[in-house]
Amino acid sequence: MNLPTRPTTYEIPSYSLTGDLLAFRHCGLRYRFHGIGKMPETRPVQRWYGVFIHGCLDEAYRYYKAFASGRNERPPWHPVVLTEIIELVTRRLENQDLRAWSHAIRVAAEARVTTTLREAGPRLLPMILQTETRVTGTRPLAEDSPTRTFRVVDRYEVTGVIDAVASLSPGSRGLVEEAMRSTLGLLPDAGTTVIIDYKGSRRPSLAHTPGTLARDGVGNDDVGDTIDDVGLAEGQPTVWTSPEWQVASYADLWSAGRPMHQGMTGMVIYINELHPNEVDFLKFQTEIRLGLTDVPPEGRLLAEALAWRRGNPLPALPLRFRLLRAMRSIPVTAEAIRTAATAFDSVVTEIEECLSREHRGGTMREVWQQNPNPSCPTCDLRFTCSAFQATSVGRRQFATPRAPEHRGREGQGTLRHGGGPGDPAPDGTDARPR
Amino acid sequence: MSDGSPFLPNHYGSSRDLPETTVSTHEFLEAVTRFRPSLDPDQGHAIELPWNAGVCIVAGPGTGKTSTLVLRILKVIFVDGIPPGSVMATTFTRKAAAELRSRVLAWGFRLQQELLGMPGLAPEVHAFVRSVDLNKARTGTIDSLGARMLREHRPPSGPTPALAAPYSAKAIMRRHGFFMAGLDKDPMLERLLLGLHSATRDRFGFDAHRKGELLSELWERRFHDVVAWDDWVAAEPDPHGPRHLVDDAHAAYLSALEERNLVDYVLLQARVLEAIRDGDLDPALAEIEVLLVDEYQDTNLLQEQLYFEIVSRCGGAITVVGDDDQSLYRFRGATVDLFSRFPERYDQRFGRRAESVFLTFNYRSSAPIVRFVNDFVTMDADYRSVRSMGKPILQQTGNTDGHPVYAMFRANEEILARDLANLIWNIFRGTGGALPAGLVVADPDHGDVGDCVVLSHSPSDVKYDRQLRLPHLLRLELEAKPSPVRVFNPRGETLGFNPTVSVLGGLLLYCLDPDGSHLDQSFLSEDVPDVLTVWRERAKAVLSLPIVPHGLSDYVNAWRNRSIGRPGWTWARETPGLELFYALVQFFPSIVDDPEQHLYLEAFARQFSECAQVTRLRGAIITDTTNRDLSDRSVRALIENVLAPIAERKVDIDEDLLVAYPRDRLPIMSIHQAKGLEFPITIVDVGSDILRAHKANAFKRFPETGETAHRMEDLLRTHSTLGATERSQVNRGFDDLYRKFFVAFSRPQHILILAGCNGTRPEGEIPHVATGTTRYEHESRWRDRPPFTYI
Repeated sequence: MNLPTRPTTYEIPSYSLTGDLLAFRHCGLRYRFHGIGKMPETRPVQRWYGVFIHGCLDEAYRYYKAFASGRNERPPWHPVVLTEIIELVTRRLENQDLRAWSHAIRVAAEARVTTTLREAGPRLLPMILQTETRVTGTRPLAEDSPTRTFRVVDRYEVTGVIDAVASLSPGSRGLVEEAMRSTLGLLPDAGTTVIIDYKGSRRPSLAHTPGTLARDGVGNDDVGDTIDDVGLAEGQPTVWTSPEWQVASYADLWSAGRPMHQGMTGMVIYINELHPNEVDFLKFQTEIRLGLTDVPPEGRLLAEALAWRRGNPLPALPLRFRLLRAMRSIPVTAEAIRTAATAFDSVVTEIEECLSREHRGGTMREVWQQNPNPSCPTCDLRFTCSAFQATSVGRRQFATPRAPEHRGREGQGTLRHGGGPGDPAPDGTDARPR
Repeated sequence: MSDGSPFLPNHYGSSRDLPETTVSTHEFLEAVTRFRPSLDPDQGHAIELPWNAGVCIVAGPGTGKTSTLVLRILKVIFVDGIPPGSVMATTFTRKAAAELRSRVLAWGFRLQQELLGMPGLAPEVHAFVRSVDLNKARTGTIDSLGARMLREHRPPSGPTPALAAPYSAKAIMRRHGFFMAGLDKDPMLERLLLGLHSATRDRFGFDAHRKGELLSELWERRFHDVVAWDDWVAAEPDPHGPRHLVDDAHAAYLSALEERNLVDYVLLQARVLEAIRDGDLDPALAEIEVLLVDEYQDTNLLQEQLYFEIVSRCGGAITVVGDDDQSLYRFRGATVDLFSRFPERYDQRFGRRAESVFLTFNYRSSAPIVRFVNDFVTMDADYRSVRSMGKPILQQTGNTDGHPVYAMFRANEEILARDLANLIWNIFRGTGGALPAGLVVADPDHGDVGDCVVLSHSPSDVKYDRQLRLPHLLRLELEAKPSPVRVFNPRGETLGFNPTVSVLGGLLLYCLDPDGSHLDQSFLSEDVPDVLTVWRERAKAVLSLPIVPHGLSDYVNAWRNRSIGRPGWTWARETPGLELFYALVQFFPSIVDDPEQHLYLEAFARQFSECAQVTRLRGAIITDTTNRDLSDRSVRALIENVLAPIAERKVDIDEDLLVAYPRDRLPIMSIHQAKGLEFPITIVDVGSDILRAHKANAFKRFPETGETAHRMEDLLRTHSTLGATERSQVNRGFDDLYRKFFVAFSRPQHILILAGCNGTRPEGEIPHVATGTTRYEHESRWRDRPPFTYI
């Protein structure tokens, strides 16, 4: 008797847009270790920042809704209310063992949330219909590859969480609404449904747009400027393109099965632009000089921006300009949705291939691609990551872990523990778990 | 309805407005048969019952339980027109929930495709089918769905507590409910706990950890059985009596959880129930029209109340699926009666009787195996009396002239392991395994040893006295073959003995506590210091090898000497323990590269996270020369909460991290793990370690007393609506044993082999239910005519 075999498992794997697909693109090995392998990060710098910003904006919306039902006061809120929201979210994150890596990061995040809610909140919150909306969809995968032998996968499920769905009513007036219309290219009296994604980062430079030097960063390059471009393949998502994929997909999933009474479009709001700090401003200056920003200042503002020198007070940028810098239109067209979907199909295919190769006995570092990126210096695998070790930053660091000691007394001197960067400022990673 | 389904909701609960145009039952069934075999009459009946009825599907093993559930979900959507977002389907584990969702989506899309391609489909029906968005179906475990509802519908500034991992919860109970509440020395509490621990008040294994565990089990059972707690406590007249002490322990535990803004699983479920009753989740529940619950035989009273509360909003539209013969989780609070008496309980709540459907056609196993399973499950008259009323036997559909059931009994475990290994090796690596009904050869193209499984009461490699058990002996035999076969038994492996674990754990310990002084002062179970000392010695041995990973010695030495420090250098005051661990791991690239090793790394990482939840120092290593006490406490916290649980086998690897079981390894697993799985060959270890009829092994063959779970039921159910049971603890022990072996015997598709030592043969002297002895007879019914062929 020839013994029949156990049937191959049929499965529709579920992939989160940010937690899986973009994370894999960011770095395959890191995704395998922290994502699939569920190994927590020791220094989840980006994660805390992203979750904190999103948590505060979501909580603020719940406060606003409570006002609508008569249980809270109308925004703008007293600073005490803002502090209450911030403390509540901070405590909540601490329960999940998420803490700001440094006091400076915490202060920066709180300042950005406070400014956003104080200046944009009173107009933005009333426009919001819902927050933290879970969306899901299923896509067929291209022909099942013969190499994917451990399970049959002919479809995958994609999930995501929309930060906010807003309704821009025709004829509504206000600075935020006007900036939104201007950004979206709408007529003054037009209205639309807007799928919003908040980013805890500054507006990326045009250097990240396709066709230009693709220095992928999941961030504002605070450390990334020193990273080589080793290992970046054609078509890799950048901080410029990945929000396009993400928001177009969210919009598509959200609209499935809904009657649309008006148009729909997408928007990214870069929270750091509402409250830039010195580092942001230095980069802004550089981008202006190199012509690498799509929202440059003009006239007097341009002169003030270029004249500013480090150590001096930042030029007072008007709210309208900061809103225009913060808001980025993401068109939701059939073409954009198709591009995003094709890109995600390709990522899922790659992940499934990696899993199959691993199942057939491949080793972790052979199977999972390593992409050098700005967060490498704090990565938990930096000493075994040959791709990072080959970068100029990696070469300047120690090849094996070093004890956590530094020259001099507490708070002075050079850090010696493995060449970590100390306190990297928060960047644009939106690596929230979904 | 397009054709008027024969099952219009007339006498059933909800009277929602159904879409005017949907698929007819006939069209639905025709489309289904285009991509899967025709339904048998029982399956068809279960699927076609009205969507808003109360339905209880009793599905024996291999009868297409999940298929029927999935098709019922799809029928509710396509025929009855219930929007997918209004259908909620839950099951017992995350893995099962993922499988259920995969099947709903896969078959749903296929069905949609078949319907759209069906000639003659009315345009309006076509449009309806196109409009169905299956992705919106709500599937998951009741915990995940409940947590999501609470999170999404919380009020502003409402609490969002984090979920305490099970080990963290137990550690908090032990620390705060037991020690800090000062109850560790109380003789009254000790007496109550000892009575729960052992029927004969045997103190073996009754240490402080066990006492903490028992307090945790009482806490969980209190919620699972919805005990009127204040009344239960007040029934103890002495205000300092043991029930009051348990209450004190629980209060201290709850307070410690609240202080950390944590909830455990039972609190989460209780909060969901409370939120539903208070109307806080009305917006979420307003969307739900139908609830379907899989694995209902393992539900508890709290969950039943939750389910009934949810469907009370939609007129009682609930379908439950399960098999009372496969209820295995009494020790986790499952109450099988809730399933076997579902129709009556449903009637009591909703004023009408639920429809019962029995699925009886077995599509998994060959006819001889089905006959054997039927014989086994019906041989004990007393067990028959507790099965679902009117339950028929399984019907065979498989190969009638397949292999008979085999039995391999040998004089001892070593010989048994050798002969089993030979058979397995011959089938999968040799020229074939010679069995009485013929030679068995693995499939030449895709067959591998993953087509076979060994099931055991426990997959543990070693006994309590560290003697090797069958899983380990089998591993040694198979690995010694010319073309070795590796075993896959991560649950059975003692983590503490694993080379990766012991070396990494040893290096951690050597860095943190080089001279063992903290180990002496830590609160640890009896055996743990010995295991940890072995680890440290192993780490030292690694460091003294001729070739040591570059930089490792310097790194470890720096840590060892951190309190002394180097002139001109300052040590970081606070270092995450996890950072030290990851640093050590990276000295061993081979560990980083091997996916299987990551299962062990994750076990460590999980403990670091749990340590952060449980202790105030959050798993950090403090090095503060001005505050030695704080520094010492941080080290002890890591020893107690990270290293000790691994050393004392309290930590399992997380098998959910595996995308698939490796095909080239022989899986060895517990019967509980095998639930829901099927294998071409199944070897059931019925008693390889039972050499004589001793009271210590009675619980796994022929119970003489009840178990802790039975005693706990008797202690608490006097104050639960479940009421005190009339069935004795011993009888419940027998019932549980029948269920366990029923699950084991019903896993194989083609070949079933019972394995054990000679004493447990039917004609042997050791009574054992798995070899035919029923509870009132001390001689096996199979003594003269065993239902298997000896090999």
